[in-house]
Amino acid sequence: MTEIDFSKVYDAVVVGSGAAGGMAAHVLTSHGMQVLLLEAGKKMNIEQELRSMEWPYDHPRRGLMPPGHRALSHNEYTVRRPPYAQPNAKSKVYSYIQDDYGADYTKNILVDEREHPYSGTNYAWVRARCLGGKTNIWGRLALRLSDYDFKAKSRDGFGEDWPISYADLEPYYDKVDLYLGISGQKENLPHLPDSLFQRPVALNAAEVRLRHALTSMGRTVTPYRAGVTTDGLKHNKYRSRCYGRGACSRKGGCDIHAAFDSPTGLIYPAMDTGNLTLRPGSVVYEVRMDNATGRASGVSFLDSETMRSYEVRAKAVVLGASTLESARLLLLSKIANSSGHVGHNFCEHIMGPSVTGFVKDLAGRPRTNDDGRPGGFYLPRFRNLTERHLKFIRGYGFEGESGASMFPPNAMSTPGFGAAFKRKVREEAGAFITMGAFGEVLPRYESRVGIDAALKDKWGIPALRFDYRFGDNEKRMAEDMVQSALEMFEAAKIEVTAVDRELLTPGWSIHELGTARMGKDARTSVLNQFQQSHDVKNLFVVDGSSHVSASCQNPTWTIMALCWRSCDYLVERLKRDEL
Amino acid sequence: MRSRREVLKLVAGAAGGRPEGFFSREEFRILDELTETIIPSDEHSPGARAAGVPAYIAAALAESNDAGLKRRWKTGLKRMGRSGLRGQENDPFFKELKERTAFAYYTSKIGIHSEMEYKGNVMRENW
Ligand SMILES: Cc1cc2nc3c(=O)[nH]c(=O)nc-3n(C[C@H](O)[C@H](O)[C@H](O)COP(=O)(O)OP(=O)(O)OC[C@H]3O[C@@H](n4cnc5c(N)ncnc54)[C@H](O)[C@@H]3O)c2cc1C
Ligand code: SF4
Repeated sequence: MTEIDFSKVYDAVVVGSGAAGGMAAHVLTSHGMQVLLLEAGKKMNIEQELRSMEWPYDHPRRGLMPPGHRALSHNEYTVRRPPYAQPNAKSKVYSYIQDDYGADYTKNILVDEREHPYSGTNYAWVRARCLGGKTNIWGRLALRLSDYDFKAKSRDGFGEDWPISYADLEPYYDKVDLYLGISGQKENLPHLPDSLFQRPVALNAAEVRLRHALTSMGRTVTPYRAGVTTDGLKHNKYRSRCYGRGACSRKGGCDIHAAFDSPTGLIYPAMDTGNLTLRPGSVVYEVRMDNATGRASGVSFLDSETMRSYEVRAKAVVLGASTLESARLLLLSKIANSSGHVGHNFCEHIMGPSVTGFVKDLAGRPRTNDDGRPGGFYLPRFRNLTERHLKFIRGYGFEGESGASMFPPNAMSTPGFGAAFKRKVREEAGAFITMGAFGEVLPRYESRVGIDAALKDKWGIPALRFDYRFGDNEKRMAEDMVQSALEMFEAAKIEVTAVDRELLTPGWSIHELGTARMGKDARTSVLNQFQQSHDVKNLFVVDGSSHVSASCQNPTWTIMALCWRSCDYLVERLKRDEL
Repeated sequence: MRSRREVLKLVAGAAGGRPEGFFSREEFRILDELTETIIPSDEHSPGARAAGVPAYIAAALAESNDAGLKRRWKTGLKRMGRSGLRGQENDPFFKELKERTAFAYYTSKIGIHSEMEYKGNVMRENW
């Protein structure tokens, strides 16, 4: 169903079709609600785009983009100020994640920066405008938060506690696990609760070695917790189980959908209920208010091609346009902001510090299939749990992997040339192990986005202006990331071959959070614990903008668990006519 | 699936079907020699020449619209052709040449299968 009935008042209109909007569509339609889902981007033929098993030599440019298309370099983000893509730039310009092998497979999923400008402080803002949003290409690390995160303020005094605790969210994490499938291994860690796991990926030799070495330090190396179904899902006909093909390590998605993406995991099944109307190519620019009741009446949107404007009506408005786009919509609509906190308390993860090491006795061994799995390992947070670190609060974890990938990891770094170079690359390619950290950025009131009225996107909608910088806590944490990584490699007797100490430009983690936080107090928060606006009772914001703090765990599984909980509440209220 | 013809057309050179792309015959000869010197044939597997590395590099440069890049390669090849590679390892052009050679070689059929004996990118029933 793609025809909107403009005479109808839908039970709910959902804006955005990524992790958040997709989950809202699923939960609401499963309760029999009549839902309209508006997505700014197009529905793409994703299998045709991704071609997960195509060999590089069967691609005319070995996976690189054709002339006339280019990605912003790391340098451009670091040195230049937004807007990055100047309007007269000749080529189509994409975010940094396209600056690599495999870029041609995902270029159409990401926005052309020239059409989506923004201003202010440096920020590497990765946006996917198509059905499913960023879930088409996400890295699938699927982690839970714990009360170390939800109650962080009670532990160290910074910011605010979340208005919920782990016990409130646990049943919803369980629902997400069972409905979408997640692979992992039980570890019984209080700070990284286990999911209801399907079969875990196997750690390879170097990873097992690191795991053993760290046990005595009280640290854990666990198989990558992947939002991937390794055993299959009987209730979903659109997704296959994982066949360990290894395309996961190429930038791009899984064309058999073993890895979760919102269209096959949530939206197509929601369409099958008969309760969902989906309209791609619909750029929402305003939440409409009924001034008599103080309730939202619906939304206005532009057809992305014809630029024609439409208005639709609904009993509830559910924003899931992604953290920063939902904040932009609230600010543009000038609603739900009696607290003055919309756009503020913006946070994410720092990224950059990483180490690479060499495990000598693995060199020269016969080749094995090391990357035929959806991920390597995860090393959960260990700072500020039982002891206080003197230099910073909160924590960080590492993502890593080892073994022979399709492109030898040492091909560019091995010195020299000729027969010796060739042999060295061949013999050592499987013996490297690398890991990089993700750390919590504190949510500060002064970290914010606002509207830049003078700068407009291709559709004439005012753009965002960033006012966001890392603070001392982040910088000190980054130093500790390097220190601790070196210390752990040493403990595992892994020879360190490369160290990266530099903190990447803000935004690099692609985990933007905050800007419309939940809270008990309507004076200092935008939403209540059900992601419902304190000011506008039938308005819900179900994406990462509601997060009170970033924690250091990747956010997507939490976004979906929270959204499920809120949508259950929304339906219950709507049925009782209490919205 | 992308047609093999499309791949061949591109590699065969956007410029008039010559394998050397936008290079002169002499420049292409130097490129061919230098890339084979960087990754030579050995008892384990064939090298850059057999893997079609020079043709791939020439085709990529031919279709590029970066005039500076093209100039750099023409003058760079001329210079390296005279000096040889030994002792040039800190030269920026050497780095560029080596990177492109490695990229093209390790993404080729010979590089992936014969040289690296890569085992992945297969459907695994059990893993
Ligand atoms: C390369 C990459 C790797 C990642 N790795 C991980 C990982 O390992 N683990 C993890 O947890 N997370 C990861 N993430 C982050 C993850 O993708 C996001 O957390 C998740 O997709 C957020 O869901 P969302 O629905 O809020 O936003 P999105 O997925 O971005 O979806 C938002 C949707 O809303 C639409 N939209 C925006 N504005 C409007 C409008 N005005 N009108 C209508 N529609 C609109 C967009 O087009 C988009 O489709 C990664 C992201 C990327 C890009
Ligand atoms: S490894 Fe599994 S999840 Fe990853 S691309 Fe392959 S089949 Fe999909």
